[in-house]
Amino acid sequence: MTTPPDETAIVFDAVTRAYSTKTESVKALDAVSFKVERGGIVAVVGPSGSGKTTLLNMAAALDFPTQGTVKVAGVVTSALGKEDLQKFRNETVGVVFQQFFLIGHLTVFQNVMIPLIPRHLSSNEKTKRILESIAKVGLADKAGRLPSELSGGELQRAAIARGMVGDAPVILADEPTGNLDHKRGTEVMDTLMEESRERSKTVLIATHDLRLLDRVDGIVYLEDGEITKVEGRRVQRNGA
Amino acid sequence: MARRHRPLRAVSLVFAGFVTLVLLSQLSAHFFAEAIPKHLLVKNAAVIASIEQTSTELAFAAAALGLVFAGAVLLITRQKVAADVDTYRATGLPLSSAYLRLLRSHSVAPLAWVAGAAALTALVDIDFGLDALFPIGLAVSFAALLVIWLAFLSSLSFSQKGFEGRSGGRAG
Repeated sequence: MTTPPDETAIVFDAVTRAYSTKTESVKALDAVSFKVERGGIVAVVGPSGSGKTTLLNMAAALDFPTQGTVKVAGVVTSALGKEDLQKFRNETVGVVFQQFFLIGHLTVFQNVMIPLIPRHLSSNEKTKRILESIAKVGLADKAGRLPSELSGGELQRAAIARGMVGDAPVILADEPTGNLDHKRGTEVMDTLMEESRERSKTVLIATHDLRLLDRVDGIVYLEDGEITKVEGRRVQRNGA
Repeated sequence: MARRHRPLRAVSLVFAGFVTLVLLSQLSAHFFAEAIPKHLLVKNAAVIASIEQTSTELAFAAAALGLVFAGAVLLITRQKVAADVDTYRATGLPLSSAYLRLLRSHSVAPLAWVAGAAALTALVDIDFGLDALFPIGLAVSFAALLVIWLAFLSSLSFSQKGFEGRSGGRAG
């Protein structure tokens, strides 16, 4: 008898993230529970400070719960040791940061190459993947440019190319259309949809951009660190 | 073509500038110690000793200034370099790989040039007995300081489990 493959890509189980200051403890996330099916494209929406970025950082194993567990691609992130954590960040998730975090003295090509550095791939294969990824976001003619030579939208697309180049099964994007006009935003969304539909990637997007909501499978609404509503396909409240 | 912003390369250049000052102070001491007694047509040991003492004081002052300036620049650029380390860590690079990339990005080449120049000067001027060890030692010390500083920043970032997401990481 064979076990069916795990169709759940992301599980947040009663996740609380509290930050302590000298005088008080602030909860960025409070008992957040939901799960996303593999291949789903789900938006996390909410006002500024609602905990969207904290939630994405948790899924990327860049932050960890004070209570509860986060499971991504079957892995409980807080249980990972140092080497497994590096491998997880490199192979399991592709992250697109809101502030891009491109390295200023590296070209677009070199920035996009970073996730492939630890991979055991031939130089030709790495170059092929990088160029494909850059072309997908429409920056083929700017691969040799430095970040300081790019517009805000181009920086965002370079960050997206870096998030996709590693071919990770889960893509986490923080405001991926935040700096783009409608046309470019649609193109970026098309790229993320293509990754999801054709390559079975799970995509979790934190966004303010209400135009995206018609195109995603499901929506998680956050307010003050708590889930107020979960709707759509491929996402549900955990335990519901 | 925009310039590549390599904060620690700037630090390296500052260090190299001060090592050059040390070297120049010693060369000028050589020049005056040779030229002045010839001009006076007397070998005045006291004059030569005084020139050498002033040269040594200048060399130490330049070295101390170099340390203070470069230390300040290291602290100022800390956040930007740390943001680069965070980015490498967030994309799953191991510490050793991130560290090597930092070393390659923030070259210490200017210090090597100055150390080489000091060594060359000493070889050319071996009879004078120019103390090239001082500028060479200084260049090596500065290079070591840079390498240790990068190791410190890398280890600090990698010892954290979470991610600070410094805004300094934004490009441009």
